[in-house]
Amino acid sequence: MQTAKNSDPDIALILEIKKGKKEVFAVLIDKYKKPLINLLFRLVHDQTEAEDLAQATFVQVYKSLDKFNFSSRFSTWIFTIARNLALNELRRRSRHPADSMELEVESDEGIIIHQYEDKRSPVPCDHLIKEELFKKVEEALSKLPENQRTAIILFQQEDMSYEEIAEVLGCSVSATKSLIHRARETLKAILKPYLQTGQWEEDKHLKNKKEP
Amino acid sequence: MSKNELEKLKELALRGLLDDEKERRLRMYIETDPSCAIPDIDKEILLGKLLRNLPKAPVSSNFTARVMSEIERLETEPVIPIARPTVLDWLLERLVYKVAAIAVILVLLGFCYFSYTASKNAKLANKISELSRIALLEDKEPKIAVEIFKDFDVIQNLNQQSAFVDTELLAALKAN
Repeated sequence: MQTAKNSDPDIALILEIKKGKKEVFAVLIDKYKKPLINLLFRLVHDQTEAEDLAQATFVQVYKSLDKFNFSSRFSTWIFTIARNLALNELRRRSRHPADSMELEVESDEGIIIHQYEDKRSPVPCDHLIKEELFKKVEEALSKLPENQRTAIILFQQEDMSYEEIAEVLGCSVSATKSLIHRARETLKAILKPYLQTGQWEEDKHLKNKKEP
Repeated sequence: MSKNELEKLKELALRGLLDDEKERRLRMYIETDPSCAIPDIDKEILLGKLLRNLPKAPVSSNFTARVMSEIERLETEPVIPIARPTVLDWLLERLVYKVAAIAVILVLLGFCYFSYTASKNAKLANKISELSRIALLEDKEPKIAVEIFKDFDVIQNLNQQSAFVDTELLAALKAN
C-alpha cells in the first residue's frame, strides 16, 4: 500500500508532536478548526454542538496520534474522525430527541419552521437578498442525505480531491463522484428558480410588491 | 486547448473556481467543439460559485486555547488504572455462561424425566388398584367366575331379540 508520508504536508508537525512538542498541536488546530467546524455545523446544524464535536475530534486525534501511521493523509484522517463523531451525535439525537431551544412556528402548509433571532444590524437591500439566497442554499443543503452533504461540502468548500473524499466517506472514488453528481442534481432542482434567472422568483415578487 | 486542460477547466467550473478569463476560455472551447459541451453549463457554473461563496461557520476566538486546555486537563488528570481482564477472568466469564447453559438444560431434562416417571407411576397405580378390586370381588363372591362374562354380548343380544319376538307374539295374539 502506498503511504501518504511523502505527500502529506502535516508530516513534520505530527513528527514534532510525537517527539513531545505538545504546543505544536495548536498549529494543527489552527489549520483545521475552520474546515472541521464548517463541515460539522452543516451536519449537526448547531454552532455550539459543532464546536464541541470539533473539540472532541481534536482531543481524539491527539490521543490517537501515536497510532497514526501515515497510511493516509492527516487531513482525511481528521475529517473521518469528525464525521464519525457527528454521525454518533446524529444517531444519539434520533434516539433521544431533545426539545429545541429555538422558537418553532407552523407555516401555512402546516410545516414546523424554525425561527432564529436576527442579530444583524440593518443592511442594504442587495445584501439582504444575498443573505436570503445563502439561506436558501443552506436549506437546500440540509435536505441532502448526510453522505451527499459531506461529499459536496468537502468538494466545494474544502477543495478535497475525489480520492480524499472517498477515504473520508469510506467508499470508492466512483461512488464518491456519483454522490457529488446526485447532490448537485438535487441542489439544481431545489435552487432552480435562482439558477434559471440568477435571482429568486420570490425576491423579485417582493421587489415588485414594494414598487409603487 | 488540450483535453486535459478542458477537463481541468470543467472541474474548476464545478468547484466554483473559474475566474472570468478561464470561464471565457471554457465557453469559447465549447462553442468551437460542441461535442465537449456541458449540459446546463450556466447553472453548473452558478451553482459552483454559490456553494463556493457560501459563508463558512464562525469559530470562537478562544477555540484553540479551549482545546489545548482540555488536552492539558486530560494529561494532568490522574489516570485511574483499569484492571485489565486476565486470561483467567476471560475463561471464568466464558465458563459462567457455559455452566449456566448446562444447568438450564439439566433442569429441563430433570423436569421432563420427573413428569414422565410420575405419569408412568400413576398408570401403574391405576392398574394395580383395578386388579386389586377384581381380586377383592373374587374373594367376596367366589361363585361368580370370570367365565360368566365371556358370553355377555350374546346374552345381551338375546335379550334384545326376545323383546322383539315378544312384540311380534303380542301382535299375533291381538289379531286372534
